[in-house]
Amino acid sequence: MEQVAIIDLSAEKVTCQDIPEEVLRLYLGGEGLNAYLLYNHLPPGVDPLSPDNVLIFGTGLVSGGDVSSSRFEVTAKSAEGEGGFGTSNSGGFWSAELKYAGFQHLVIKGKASRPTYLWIHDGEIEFRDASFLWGRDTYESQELIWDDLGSQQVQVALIGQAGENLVRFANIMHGLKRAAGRTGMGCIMGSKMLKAIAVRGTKGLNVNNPAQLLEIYADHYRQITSTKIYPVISRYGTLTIFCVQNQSGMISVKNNQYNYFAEAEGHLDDEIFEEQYKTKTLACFACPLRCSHRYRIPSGPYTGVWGEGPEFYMMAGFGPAVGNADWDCILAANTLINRYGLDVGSTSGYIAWLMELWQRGIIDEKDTGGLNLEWGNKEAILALLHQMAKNEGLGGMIGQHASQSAKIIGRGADRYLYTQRGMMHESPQNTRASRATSLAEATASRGSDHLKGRCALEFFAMPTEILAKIYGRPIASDFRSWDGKPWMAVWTQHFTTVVDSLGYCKFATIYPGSTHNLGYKQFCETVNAIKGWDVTVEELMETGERIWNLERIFIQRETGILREGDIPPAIYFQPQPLEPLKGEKLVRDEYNRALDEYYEIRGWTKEGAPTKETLERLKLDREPSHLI
Amino acid sequence: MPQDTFFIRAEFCTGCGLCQLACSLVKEKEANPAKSRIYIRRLVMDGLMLPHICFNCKKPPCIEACRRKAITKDTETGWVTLDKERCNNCTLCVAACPFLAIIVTPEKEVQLCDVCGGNPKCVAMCPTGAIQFADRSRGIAGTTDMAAVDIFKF
Repeated sequence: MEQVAIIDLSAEKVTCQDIPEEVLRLYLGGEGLNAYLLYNHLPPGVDPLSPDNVLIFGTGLVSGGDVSSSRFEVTAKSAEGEGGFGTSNSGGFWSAELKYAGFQHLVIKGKASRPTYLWIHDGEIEFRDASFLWGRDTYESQELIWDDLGSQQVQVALIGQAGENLVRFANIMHGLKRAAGRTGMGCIMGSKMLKAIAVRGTKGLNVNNPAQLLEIYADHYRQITSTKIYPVISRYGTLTIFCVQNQSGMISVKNNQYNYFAEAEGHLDDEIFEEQYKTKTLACFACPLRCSHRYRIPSGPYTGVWGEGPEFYMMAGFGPAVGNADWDCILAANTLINRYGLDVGSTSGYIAWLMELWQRGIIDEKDTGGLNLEWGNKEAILALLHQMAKNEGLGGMIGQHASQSAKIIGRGADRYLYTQRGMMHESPQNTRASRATSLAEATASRGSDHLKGRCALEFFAMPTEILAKIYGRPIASDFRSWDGKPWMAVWTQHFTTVVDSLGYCKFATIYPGSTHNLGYKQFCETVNAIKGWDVTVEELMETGERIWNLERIFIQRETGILREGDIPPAIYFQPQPLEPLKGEKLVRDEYNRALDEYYEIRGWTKEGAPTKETLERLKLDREPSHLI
Repeated sequence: MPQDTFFIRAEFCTGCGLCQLACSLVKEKEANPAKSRIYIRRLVMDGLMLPHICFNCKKPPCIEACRRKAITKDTETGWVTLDKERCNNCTLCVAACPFLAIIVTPEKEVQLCDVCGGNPKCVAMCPTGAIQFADRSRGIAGTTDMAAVDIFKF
């Protein structure tokens, strides 16, 4: 039986509870059950940074039992967004380890009276003093925890100085690069004085049919390693997306002012990274994709800086978005944000915004404390990073106030700040040319979310017959057409939600655009072998929809922002200035019509609230049901 | 007759543990890397992943260490196996093995790889070829130690 541990930091008390089978089947695990637990355990209307906020860690339902399934989800009321749904997930080893230790979910309440870390091993949970870790970065802290517990086999999820200093977009790190980045989950962890959660599990996973699981496991392994994208993704990871995005004019340059970055040609690409910086390829648990890269900067001002990563978002966020074409600077920034525990999307987004304010003369040296924020100024970029994490100067102010800092600066600064639901628009992403992706990202629960909304199959101009086969409805193959796109957005959102609830990595699924990767059918196989259920594709799709609607009623309860939160940032309605895809933009009327259609498909009102019938159909009408 | 054994190329190991999960499913009928016959030492800060598995040594120190004659080496195949009927989990063999290839499970049981009858699942599921199963005359089994030397390369 899967277990949830309810951990009260104020009283240092733990209660463990079995997850009732009915709840498990309705919400699976990961994001789904996290959403359920949040909806049931969070008192309505609390301040995100108060001890009343609830921080929930959840492993996927099949984590530790299948290929590429070791992802965990962290959920709480958002620290960065406008008090909405905060959730983020991360790969690595932690998720499988927690599952092997006997827990699927941890509900963390209250606030510790001193810096604390949790030590979870084979069904036991200890509160340990973390004073010796407070103020230290994530790399040091992990080593100190291994030392403290006497084992390197312990997996640690933790915050760096950014989380301790309550930076609104602080993340939760695991290992050297794995991060639950968005919505400031590290900030919530810091507000609870919880430095880390160290886990070691040797109990294994209860499997209903091990022989069948072994077969499925081998099958899925073969399937993932025989796709066309496997050789690329296992060599370059997400870095390979960069050139494609840039050369198709779908990247944010200088805070979304341009859509193509010529300086990157011949400087920023995956092959240069591999030749000059990469020292080792690493992987998450049970994953053949091995998209992690260890690197070391061999020369220049940052000689000897080492770390792990970077992903496409790092490359684009600290590259074109801030007008920088220097790999060294990107990697140095990558090491810093991982050590401090800052979210790459928001951090780079706010730096890009400040640089545009500088360009337009809205802020000057008096505001920046002497920093010169010209595009691509490496020293300034790194200096702002230090400031954000340590809560000093201009960077510190941004870190403490996130999207509210536009009000503090004033002078029309908010015009150039592209946020949605209070979340920094994921800076490197500029997908206004593609309709389904724009819609799906904008309507995502946490706001501006490519991980829920990227409809990758849209970009490949696939024949309509194939699209109809995958999505079950007619979809236009041109990414600039709206035909069928609201359904494509809905389908993708449900799919990614199920993936996050089961614990799979999206790169092992059809999400990045390979139709031969894992899909619903394969998910059913694994779930049924592990749990002994008879889950069908239709049931999983409905589960995705249920979770999505639960998140929606959570947002409705906590913020009341529905339709107005589902509109992309204003810049998306401006034409792109450069080739390729020059002149592409979203048109307000068209977007609103698509949004209407999207709500209709979902069974929501014109304002974007789920109707009573929809909630009844999805068995959500009795929430909060308090079964756990 | 050629004798097959494991070869480790630790520099290619990504530390993913696909092999461990496969092994535990095959041998223990559960998903639990802690009971796998392969042990991966993960030196995270050094970025070094070191898989340890029985190399079926020509002159196995574990056989000499075992007082209950529970470990034998097949003269024909060259495979070293542990007879669990005779074994009393004293772990003398664990101490004797120079390659950290004998596993002690969380229940303190000693376990040794039996090469799955010559068709090891771990090898089939290693995406980078870090673990291979081949004729031992093709080289010396095991470069795990050499990979460890590389840590100090910088």
